[in-house]
Amino acid sequence: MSRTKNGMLWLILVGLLGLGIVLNVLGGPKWYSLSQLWQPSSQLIHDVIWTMRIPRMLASVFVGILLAMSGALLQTISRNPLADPSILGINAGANLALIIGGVTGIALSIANTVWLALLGAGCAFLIVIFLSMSKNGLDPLRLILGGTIFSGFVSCISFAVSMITNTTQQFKNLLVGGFSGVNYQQVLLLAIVTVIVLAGVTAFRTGFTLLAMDEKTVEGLGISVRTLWLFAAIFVILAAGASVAVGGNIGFVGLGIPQLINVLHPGSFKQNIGLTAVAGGTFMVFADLFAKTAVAGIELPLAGLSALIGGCLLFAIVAFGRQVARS
Amino acid sequence: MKRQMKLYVGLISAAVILIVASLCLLAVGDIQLSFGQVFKTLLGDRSDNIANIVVWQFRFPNLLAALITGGALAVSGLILQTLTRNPLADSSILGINAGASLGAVVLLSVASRIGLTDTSQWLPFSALIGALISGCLVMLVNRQGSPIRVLLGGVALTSALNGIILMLELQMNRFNFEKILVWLSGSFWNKDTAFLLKNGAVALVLLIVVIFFIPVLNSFTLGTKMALGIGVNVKTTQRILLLLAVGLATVAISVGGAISFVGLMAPNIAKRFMGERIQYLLPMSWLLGSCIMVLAEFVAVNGFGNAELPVGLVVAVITMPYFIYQLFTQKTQTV
Repeated sequence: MSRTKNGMLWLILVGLLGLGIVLNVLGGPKWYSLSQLWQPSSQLIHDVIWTMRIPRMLASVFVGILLAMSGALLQTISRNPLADPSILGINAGANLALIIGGVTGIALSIANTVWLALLGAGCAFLIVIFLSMSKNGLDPLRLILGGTIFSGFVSCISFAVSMITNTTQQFKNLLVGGFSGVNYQQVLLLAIVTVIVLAGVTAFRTGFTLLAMDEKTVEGLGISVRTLWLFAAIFVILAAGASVAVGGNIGFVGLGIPQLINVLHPGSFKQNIGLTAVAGGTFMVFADLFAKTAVAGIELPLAGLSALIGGCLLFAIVAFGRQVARS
Repeated sequence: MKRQMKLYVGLISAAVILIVASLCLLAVGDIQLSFGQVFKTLLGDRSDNIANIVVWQFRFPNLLAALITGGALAVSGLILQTLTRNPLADSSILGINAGASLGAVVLLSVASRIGLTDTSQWLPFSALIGALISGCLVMLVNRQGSPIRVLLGGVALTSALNGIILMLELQMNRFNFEKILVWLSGSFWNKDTAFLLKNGAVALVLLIVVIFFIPVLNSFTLGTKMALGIGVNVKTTQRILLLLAVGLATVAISVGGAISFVGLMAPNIAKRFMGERIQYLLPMSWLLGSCIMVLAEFVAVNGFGNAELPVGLVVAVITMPYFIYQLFTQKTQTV
């Protein structure tokens, strides 16, 4: 029974992802018909599709996959169902590092954005770990609350830095999130990171699944918790850093998608991580489509869109959820 | 007796700090004035033309706005903390600020659609409606009875509302972040003296009403059961006080946008010096809240060379770490 349900879910999600990919390429300020994809009626349309829309679509899919997986990882290793890189300030850290880097005159080439984003995400991650090790940090809700405020704090610094140096225009995409102007180099970066994270998570999937159990059991099974933790942290930082470097300040995907998949198909980390990844990509590709087509002539900020959806979801969990209460 | 003295010394020193900070705000800037010049101008001497213009036209509105927002937020935070018996509560973390902001933004956005230019008289009402709605939503979570949960619910609500604000604002004024940040993190956006005076008057009236509720607030610090025992009509007074807190926050937000956590920080620091009694806490919170805002405005105007930051960003950078510190160092049983 469960197996067929699993298969059905896969089928539906992959189908949706395919649909989203096609629609995302066709949609935009101007909608193209399907036939334009292989028979563009003019050179301009051909160029728009291949140099603007395809990379943008690919970026949104990859970022969705990465954010959803990093959320699932964080939730598993911290045993906190509300954990998410953006809620804990990891995304904001990467964002701030990129802005500071840009302001201090580091050319934001692909290589530079990678190490800057990773540095920022890593620092933020360390601070959150530090907070969680304090006396009160073990309380899952408290950690999430502190993380959210920390995230807001870092975002405020980002805004301040960018306003003092008069560069809000330049960092528009980072500050409000979005995929406009994505190029193939960035897509390549995302693809590489996605492959690394996917391979890593597949390699360690049993370990991560066991980490969700209590620590004593895991150690009793002869698994090095520390190594697993380290790898999980690396994957989360990689995923969040790369996503921010390309898509800017997009949050809450890592909270919502794993939760959703868990509701549709309750299961362990190992069983659900694939579904979570596909669902993340699907969600992002549709969110991006919505952002660029919902209001004519303007692009909705993905940061605002994701905060709206994610905030409502978090509120619903906090207000009506029961399982979060026990620590 | 000795304790009494200590309390008065605390109050007086806070007042002195506030006065000095205010004078600094009036005196320092692109055009430097001496304290003597500022004094003279404030006392009504019109002979020094430059000082007159600089003080009354440029800097006094800032000071007035800082005093209104800081004081109102601090007192609103104190009421909320007393009512919810949660030392980390304040109007910004409970989502009330974001609600008020959204109310204001919706009004501005509708007004710009239909071509209405003067919205200032409607602004407080739409902000109040937004604040009340979000306040009610958060109180929904309060029924669960877990203090951290309430705060987290407020934060989640804030995040969702800020998402809407960001989208509406970006449509209205494209990428003018200064304007967008008013309703996300706070800035004195309208420095028209008449507007400020009107809001200041409302804040003053609300503060005076709060003074009448000092005994009731004191009884609430002992717990609702105790308050009931003393003969307080708990339900009704709770509602009135909640309305007062939301009203004060709304005034502050109409003037300064969604300024965060002043209502958390000021009463908490005040408690360190003043203990639990509201009759001392209330004035001290007001003084400290105003101090925070005046100092933040001072830094925002003078701290960064030619660029002027929105005051809310400066406040956030001070108050958010304070919140995190409080959250993680507090004894577990209080929250």
